[in-house]
Amino acid sequence: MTNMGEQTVFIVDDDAAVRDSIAELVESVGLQAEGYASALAFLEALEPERPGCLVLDVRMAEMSGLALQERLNELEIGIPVIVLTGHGDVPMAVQAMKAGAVDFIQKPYRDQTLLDSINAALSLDADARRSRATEDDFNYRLASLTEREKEVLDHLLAGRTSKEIAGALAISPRTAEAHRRNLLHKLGVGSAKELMRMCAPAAKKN
Amino acid sequence: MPEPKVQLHGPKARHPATVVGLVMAIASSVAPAIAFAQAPDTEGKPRRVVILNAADPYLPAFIALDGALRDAIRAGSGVPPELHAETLDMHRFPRLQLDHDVAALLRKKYDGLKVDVVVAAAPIALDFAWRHHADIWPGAAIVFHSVPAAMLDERSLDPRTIGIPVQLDFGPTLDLALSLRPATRRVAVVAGTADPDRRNLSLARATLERYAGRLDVEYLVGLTLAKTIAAVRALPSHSVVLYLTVYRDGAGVPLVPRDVLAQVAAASPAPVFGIFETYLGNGIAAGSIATYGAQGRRAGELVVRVLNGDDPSAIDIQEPATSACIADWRQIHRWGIDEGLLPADCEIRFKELTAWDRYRWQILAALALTLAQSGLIVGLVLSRRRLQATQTSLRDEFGRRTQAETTVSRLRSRLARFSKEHSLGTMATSISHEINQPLIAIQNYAQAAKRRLQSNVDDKPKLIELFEKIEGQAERAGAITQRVRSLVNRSDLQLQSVALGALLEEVIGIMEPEAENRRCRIQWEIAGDLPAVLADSLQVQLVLVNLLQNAMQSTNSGNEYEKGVSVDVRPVDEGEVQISVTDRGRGVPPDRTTEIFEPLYSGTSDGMGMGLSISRAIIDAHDGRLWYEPNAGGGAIFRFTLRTVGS
Repeated sequence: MTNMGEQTVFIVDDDAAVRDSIAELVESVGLQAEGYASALAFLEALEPERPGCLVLDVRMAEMSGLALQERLNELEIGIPVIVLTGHGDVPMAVQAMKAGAVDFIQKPYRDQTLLDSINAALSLDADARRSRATEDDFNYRLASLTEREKEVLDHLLAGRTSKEIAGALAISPRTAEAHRRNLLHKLGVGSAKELMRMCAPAAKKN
Repeated sequence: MPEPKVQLHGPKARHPATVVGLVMAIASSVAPAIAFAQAPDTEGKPRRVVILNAADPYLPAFIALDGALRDAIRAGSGVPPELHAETLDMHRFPRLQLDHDVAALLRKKYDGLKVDVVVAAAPIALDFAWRHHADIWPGAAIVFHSVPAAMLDERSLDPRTIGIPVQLDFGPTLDLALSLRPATRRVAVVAGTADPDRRNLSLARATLERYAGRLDVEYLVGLTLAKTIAAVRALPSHSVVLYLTVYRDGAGVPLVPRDVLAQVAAASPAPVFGIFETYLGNGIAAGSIATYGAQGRRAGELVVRVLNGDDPSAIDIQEPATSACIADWRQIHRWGIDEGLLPADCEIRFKELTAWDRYRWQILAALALTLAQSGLIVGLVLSRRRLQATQTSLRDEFGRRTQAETTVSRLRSRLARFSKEHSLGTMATSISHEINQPLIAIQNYAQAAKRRLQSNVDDKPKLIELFEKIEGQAERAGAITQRVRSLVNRSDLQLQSVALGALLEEVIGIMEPEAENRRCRIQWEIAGDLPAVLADSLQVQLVLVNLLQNAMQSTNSGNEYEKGVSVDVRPVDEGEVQISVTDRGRGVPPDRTTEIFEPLYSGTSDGMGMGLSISRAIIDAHDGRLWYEPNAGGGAIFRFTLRTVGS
């Protein structure tokens, strides 16, 4: 069973030797690699929650690398894609970049070039997943607040003190303070300041 | 049913009392006979008019006249009277023998019916009415029409008889005929033998006496129809025909005058003239004619006056229907008569409007359209000429291009025949891809092994695995190159006598577009006494294409001088021809002059390095040689030899 947390370099190339050799290269630096003989095989096995990046040969029979990129975009799967193109195949490289590839590498390439690109793609994926996770988590916590706590939260975000909130909601300052304490706890933040920082992206979004 | 109401229009309707009073006043002030006069029936009793026709009721003249008469009666009376029609049709029968019986029949028929007016159409009807009206239609007034004025003079007219006489006069018509045909020497008079025919004839005779001495008159009377027509046909052309009436021919055959006229006119070598309106359109050129419409209308108006209460005896015999010139435009033209000779007030019928009269606007529009089209056509012709001029000026260029294209397509079809795998283009793509794959794999494996070694992790099995994979891919690459070389072997060659000059021209034609793209000039020189070589022309072409491509690629970044590529073909030694491709490009580094002929060597960034290897294999298979020489002035010279035929 693959560790869901570990990053994988997915390699899609229809040439078995090339696919395997890239995997060997990737594994030689301690990364995990998985090879797929075709774009369709990759889509078939795809689990979006698995972190990693995709190394994609642009020229393949059946479904081209570009077509796979487009399909991934349609499915809103944000896995970083590195495209391998033939030497001098600039138009193809341009198209790949337009389709959202994070990098393109011309064959033949220096091993370090490919590995650097793979590392950059992996950290990009990790960052994206982290921010998505934080956002998801905070949104989940927000949803757990009571209506009264949400009201108090609005006032807190507006920068009001417990006393002011008590006045606005016609409750005792003690009750307002209790709501404040509870909602900060539920949201897993230590202070109103931290809360404001956490809510900034969410507020922007909503 | 509601009680019948008199719904009179006009003054009577508005003032019935006044009208009745007026009638009473008239009745008391005039002769006793007036006591018979019927006041207009204001109590709803129907008034009756009997139209007494002596002739065939379907005679065109009668139909025209009677129609106008009836229209006038309807138009003039508030409540239309009952109209009865009686056809005596006695002019074609021995009427005096029938007279008593016809009268008895009518008496019986109208017994007890109050008739207000009897309309007598033509003399026979008037005669009958005179003699019998008191008996058959007591108290009725008589209104006549179509009765010659001359005939009225013969009798004393009953005061209750009024009407529109017709002044039958052939004089004006004859004058008209002579004025339209001034050269006329002869007048032929055509008439039948029935009573009205005879009356008309005697009238015409009286008229023609005035022209005695000036004209020959020929009376075509009493003949059968056929003889009449034949006689007309024999008339000299300086004649005119005066057609009277033919109700009955010389053989006693009853006829319709209008139909006879049509035959007369068709046979006549001279224009025909007549005085009856129905003759218009049936053969007469013109005549002084009293129209039936006018006569019928005037007679109808008299009927209305009587019905409305006017005392007939207070109404005079009317002026005869006036006649006036009416001409048939078609006949006028048929006989070449100058229209200007017609009296100014002459009515012209059947005028065929000229196309201009009829379609003036359409013609103008069509003309405008035609002009526009002509303009367009001229414009098109001009632009076509310009186009042709342009084409002419471009012809050489086009010609060259077309020739090149023809050559290319010819070669392309030959290449297709040479099977997919054997064609250089397809080979290039597939071989390049096939060769590159193991190379990339080898590179990856080697680097992976290197990294593992560098990491100091002792994983011998993995390293062995990687090196085995490298070996495998190296073998794969070797197999591919072997296969490529084997594509070109002797058994595939189709050696035949080839004229190198033509072959070279073909190749240069193929290369021209690429040369233009690269702004590269290809010059070639072929020795005059060049013998034919024994070669597979297609494969030799492939070699030449490859060498020229290499040459142009190596001069890619050079200046104009450097961009020249030349091909030289000359016989060398005994039984050999040497072809040299020379460029002034980068040339080949001295240490690579052997390498370049090996598979996978590529001196350029976009070549796949198979060209020279294959080319050499091809030439080897031809028992020739392919080699490289540096160009003394910079650049490369590739030479190859081919054996001449019979060597």
